[in-house]
Amino acid sequence: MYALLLAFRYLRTRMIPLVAIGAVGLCVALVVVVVSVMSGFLYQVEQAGKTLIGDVVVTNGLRGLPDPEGFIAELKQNEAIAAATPVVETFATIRMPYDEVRGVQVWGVDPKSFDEVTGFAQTLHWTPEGSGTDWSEADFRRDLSPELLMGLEEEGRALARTEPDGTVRPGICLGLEISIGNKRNDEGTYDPVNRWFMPVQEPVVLTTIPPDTLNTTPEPVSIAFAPVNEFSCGLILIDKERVFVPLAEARRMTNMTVAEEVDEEGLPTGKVFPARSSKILVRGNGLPEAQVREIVDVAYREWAEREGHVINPMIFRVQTWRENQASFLQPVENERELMRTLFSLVYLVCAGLVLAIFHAIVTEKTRDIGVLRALGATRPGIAMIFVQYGVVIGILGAILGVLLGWAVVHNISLINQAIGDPPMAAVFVLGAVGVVGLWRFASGFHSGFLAPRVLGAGLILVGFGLGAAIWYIKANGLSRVIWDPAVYYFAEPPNRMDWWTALTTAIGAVVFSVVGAVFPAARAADVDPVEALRHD
Amino acid sequence: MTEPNMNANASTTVLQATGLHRTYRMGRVEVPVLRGVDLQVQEGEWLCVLGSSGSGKSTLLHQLGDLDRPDRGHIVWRGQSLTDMRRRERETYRNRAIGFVFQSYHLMPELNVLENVMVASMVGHDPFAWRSMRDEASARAEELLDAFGLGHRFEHRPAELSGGERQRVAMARALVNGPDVVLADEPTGNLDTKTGDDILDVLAERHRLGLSMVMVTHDPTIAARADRVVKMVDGVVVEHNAST
Ligand SMILES: Nc1ncnc2c1ncn2[C@@H]1O[C@H](COP(=O)(O)OP(=O)(O)OP(=O)(O)O)[C@@H](O)[C@H]1O
Ligand SMILES: [Mg+2]
Repeated sequence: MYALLLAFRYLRTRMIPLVAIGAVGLCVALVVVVVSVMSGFLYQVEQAGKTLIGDVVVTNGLRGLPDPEGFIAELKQNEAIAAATPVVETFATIRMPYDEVRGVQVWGVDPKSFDEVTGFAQTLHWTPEGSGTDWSEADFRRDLSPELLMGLEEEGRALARTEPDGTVRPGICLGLEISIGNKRNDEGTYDPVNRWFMPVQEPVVLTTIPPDTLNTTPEPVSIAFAPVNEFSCGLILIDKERVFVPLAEARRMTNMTVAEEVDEEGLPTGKVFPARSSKILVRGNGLPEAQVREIVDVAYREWAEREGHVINPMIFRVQTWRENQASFLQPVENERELMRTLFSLVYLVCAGLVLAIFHAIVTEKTRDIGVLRALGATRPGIAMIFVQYGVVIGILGAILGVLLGWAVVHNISLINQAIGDPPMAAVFVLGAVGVVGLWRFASGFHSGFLAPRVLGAGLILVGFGLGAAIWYIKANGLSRVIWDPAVYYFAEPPNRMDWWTALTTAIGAVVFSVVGAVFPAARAADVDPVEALRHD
Repeated sequence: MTEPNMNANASTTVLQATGLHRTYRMGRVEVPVLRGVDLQVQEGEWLCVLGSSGSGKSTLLHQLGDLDRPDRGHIVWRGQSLTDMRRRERETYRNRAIGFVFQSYHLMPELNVLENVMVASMVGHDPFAWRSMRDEASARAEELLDAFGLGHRFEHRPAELSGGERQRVAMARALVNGPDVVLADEPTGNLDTKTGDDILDVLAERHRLGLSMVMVTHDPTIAARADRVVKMVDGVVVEHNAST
C-alpha cells in the first residue's frame, strides 16, 4: 500500500518522471503513427485493388482466353459465383482535346457485367452524388445541373453516347487524373481550366498497334470515342493511367474478335475462332477468395477440355485478387513489418530512460528507503515502490502516446499540408517565442541568475531561428508536400488508426518501463538501512 | 501487538543483549566498536545510554532494532532470539515490537504528517489487510498526533513544521503500532533545551503509561530523568551512577 502511495507521491513532486512519461509517450506515438500510416496505406491499396478486380482473376498471358462469354455462361450456373466478366487489356496512345498525346492502359469491358463484378459504376465521377466533392468553392463544376449529371451517369454506365440524331457512338471513361482539367493542386483539390470539363468534349482518339498480325506489316488501329464520364478508384496510379472502353472496340484494337480461318488462297476453311479476352474477372457469392479460386479453376479446366481449348500451364493463371496484386501489396506489407521492427527499438529507449531516471531517484531516496526498512519494510516491498512507479509511468506514457498518435494520425492531412506549406501564423508564433526568450534573457541578466539566461537563449535560438527558416522557405517557394499523391498513389495520406498496433505498443511500453525499473528497484531493496540512516 | 502494560511485572525482561560484538572493516583496518555488550531492558523501564561520540551508542541501538546484525552475541526479545527468527519474523519484529526515533527525525518529505505516521502501519500489512484496518490505523495516528499537539496539522508537509513538531510526528510514527520498546537515538540532539524538554515530557508521559525506552544521549541532565543509566566505554556497557 505504501508502495503505491509513495509511487504516486514521487510522481507528483518531481519533474523528471514527467519527462520520462513524455519520452515514453513520444516513443509510443512514433510507432503508432508510422505503423498506422503504413497499415492505412496497405488497406487503401487493397481496397482500391479489390474495387477494380473482383475476387478472382483468370489470365492466360498475352494470348488471352478463348470464348470467355461461353465459359462465363457456364460458370454462372454455379451457385457460388455471383458474377463474371471478360476484360480486354491493351496499351494505346490517347489524343486529348487539348492536343496532347499520351499513353494509357485500355480496359475493354462489358459495362454491365463489369459493374456487377467490380462495382465500377460506384467509381464514376460525374453523377448527381459523385461530383462536386473536391471542387473548390468558385469552381463552376459545382453547379452542373442534375439533369446533365444524370445523363452522364447513364452514359458512363453504358460506355456509349446516343447523339440527338439517334446514332450511338462508343464511349470512353477516363481515369480522373488523366485530363489536365483535373490536376490536383497542393491542397488536394482541383482547379478548373477555363470553363470545360472532360465529358462534354469532342471525341478522343485511341491508337494502338494490334499484336499477333502475322505475315503483315502491323497497321495501327485508331478509334474515336465520345468521352462520356470519368472515374476515380482512389488509387492515383490507376486513375492517371487507365481508360475504359466497350469490349467490342477493345477487341478490334487487339485482334481478339471472332476470326475465320483462311487457307493459303485466302478462302475461309469454315473453321471459326471465337472472340477472346485478356482476362476474366469473377466475383464469388461471399465465399472466401481461395475457395472461389478453386471453383473457377476446376470449372475452367473442365470447360476447356470439353471445348477443345489447350491450356498452357506455363502461362494460364487463376488467382485471387490478392495474389494478382501481390507484386504491389507485398513490398508495402514487408515495409510495414520492417518499420514495426525498427521502431520497436524505441522500447529500449523507454527502458533506458526509466532506468536512468529511477537510478537517480533511488540514490536521492536512499534515506527514506532506510527509514522504511527500519519500520519493517521487506526488500520486495521496497522494490515494489519502484516497480509500481515504473508501471505508473509506463501506463501514463502509453496513454499519452496513444492519444498523441491518434491526434497525429487523425489530422495527418492537415499536418502534411502544414509541413508542406507552413502557415504564416507559425512564423508569428515562433517570433513571439523568440521575443519571450529575449525577455527571459534580459531578466536573467538583471537578477544575475544563469538559468533564465540559458532558457532565454534557447528560446531565442528556436523561435527566431526556426521562424526565419520557415519564412525563408516560404519566401523562396522551397516548401514541398511530403505526402505527394503522385508518389504515394493516393490523394490523401491514410488516416486510419491501427488500434491493434496502438494496443501492442502501449503494452510494450509498460512492459519495458517496468524492465527499466527493475534494476534500480533491486538496488533500492538492497540498501543497507544503517548506511542509509547515517546520512544525516 | 503487545500494548504497553501498566501492571506489568517490573522484573520481566523485554530485551536482552549478551556478548554483542560488532567490528567494522574499512579496507584492512578493523574498527571494533562493540566488544561484548551485555544489556537488559526491563518491562516499563526507561534506560539511558551515555557515551562519548564514536563510542558505539548508535551501533548498539541498530543492533537492538535489527537494522544490523552482531558478529557475535545474541539479542533475545521476550525469550525469542533474533538470530533464530526467520526473515519475515524479523521484519514483523521491526514493525511491531520496535519503534525508532532518530536525532534528525527522518520523515518522508513527500508524505504529509498523517501519512508519515500511518506509513508505519501500512508497511506491516499487505494492501488487502491494510484496507480492512485502515480506519483503525488512521484513528490511532490521529489520536497520537492530537495528544502531541498536532491535531490540526495532518495535511502539512514535514518541511512546513518546526524541528520540535517534526520530532513529535516521528514519535507518533514510532508509537503508532504500539511497540514494546522505543529506541531513541538522541531524540533532542537537534533541538534547543526548551523544545527538547517538551519532547522528553511527551516521552516521559508514555513511559509513565508503561512504555519501555532505550534512549541514547550525551546530556547528563536528560539521563537524570531516566530509571537507569548505562555508559558505553571501550565497546562495553557499564553501569553509571551520577556521582562518578
Ligand atoms: N558502517 C561503518 N563503517 C565503518 N565504521 C563505522 C560504521 N558505522 C560506524 N562506524 C564506526 O563505529 C564507531 C561508532 O559509531 P556510532 O555511530 O555507533 O557512534 P556513536 O556513539 O553513536 O557516536 P555519536 O555520539 O557521534 O553519534 C565510530 O567510530 C564509527 O566511525
Ligand atoms: Mg550516534
